[in-house]
Amino acid sequence: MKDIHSRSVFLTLLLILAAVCMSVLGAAAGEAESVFGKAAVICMECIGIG
Amino acid sequence: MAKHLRKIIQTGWGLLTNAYVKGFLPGGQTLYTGPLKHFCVPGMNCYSCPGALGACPVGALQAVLNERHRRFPAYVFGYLAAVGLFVGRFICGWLCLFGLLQELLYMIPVPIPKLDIPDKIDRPLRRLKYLVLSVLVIGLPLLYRTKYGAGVPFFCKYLCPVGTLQGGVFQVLLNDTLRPALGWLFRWKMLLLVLCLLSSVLIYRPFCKYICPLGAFYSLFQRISLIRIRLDNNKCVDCGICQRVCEMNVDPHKDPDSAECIRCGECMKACPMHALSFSIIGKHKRQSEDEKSKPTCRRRQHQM
Repeated sequence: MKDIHSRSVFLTLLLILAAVCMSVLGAAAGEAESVFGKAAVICMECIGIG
Repeated sequence: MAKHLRKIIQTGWGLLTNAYVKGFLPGGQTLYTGPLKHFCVPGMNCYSCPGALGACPVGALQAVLNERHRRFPAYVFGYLAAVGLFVGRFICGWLCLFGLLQELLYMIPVPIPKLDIPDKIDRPLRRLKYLVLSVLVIGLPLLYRTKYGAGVPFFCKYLCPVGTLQGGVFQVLLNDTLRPALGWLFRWKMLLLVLCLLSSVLIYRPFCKYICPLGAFYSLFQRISLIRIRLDNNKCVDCGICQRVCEMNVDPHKDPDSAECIRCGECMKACPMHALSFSIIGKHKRQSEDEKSKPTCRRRQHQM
């Protein structure tokens, strides 16, 4: 039983690691700059101007 | 203090993530443009809010999907998946400013009873947020392009009341040059915002229950997240108090990892037997297994 729970924790930790790696790779590919480009100016769509 | 801990954390987090005071001053710089804007906050928080220090994850996801050269939004998707895998919808209950606003509105006393949506209507409506996530946040921003080749952030543009409140209202009040440009879209979004805020007085967190795409995304990880709510079957006496206090209409005693649970912890506070608690998966289960070996005859004694 303990093995199943340990495996469950291990799997979640592995998925978190994979998600963090994915995020880091995305940032390295320039996505963080795209996010910044949108977030650092007034978003006309968000405020309802279009 | 402990009684209001969640409200204090929600408020503190909201102030911290919107701490660019200069943005609120008339005639000043309207937005923070420093390096923190590269990063997303975990909850709904419009990046066009004059005080916002970080980016909105839903807006950021659409911004990457809207690019001319289509690519998988690994940066934002990975970040949101990591948060979801770590804590699930805990973010909704503890670190979302718009969630706090809805909760405060729900606390306003009204002469009519608060609305209890019948299960028949409530259940299908809860699925609406998954539709919003898949169509307005991912599908259309990925597939649709204007004749100039740019994508459209459909959720932000046509639906998001958070952007209207945090971005729209403040920016229009502080920025004279924006006012002549207001048209039908602003009126439509204001109508949605007013409906959302008014319904929050009668319904607990209607936006979170039925519309929020971020809550929908985090809910996908509820059952596999590292931090979860655990029920100790040896302590539970099936009194049903946890279900009665849950404003999200979850029954923690039957399904503590429900996709609708925002992990606010109200059920834990209300449980007279302290049978519910936050736990790191595995650890608490092992404890429960150990406790199961001990003889107990307390079940249902509480009801007698």
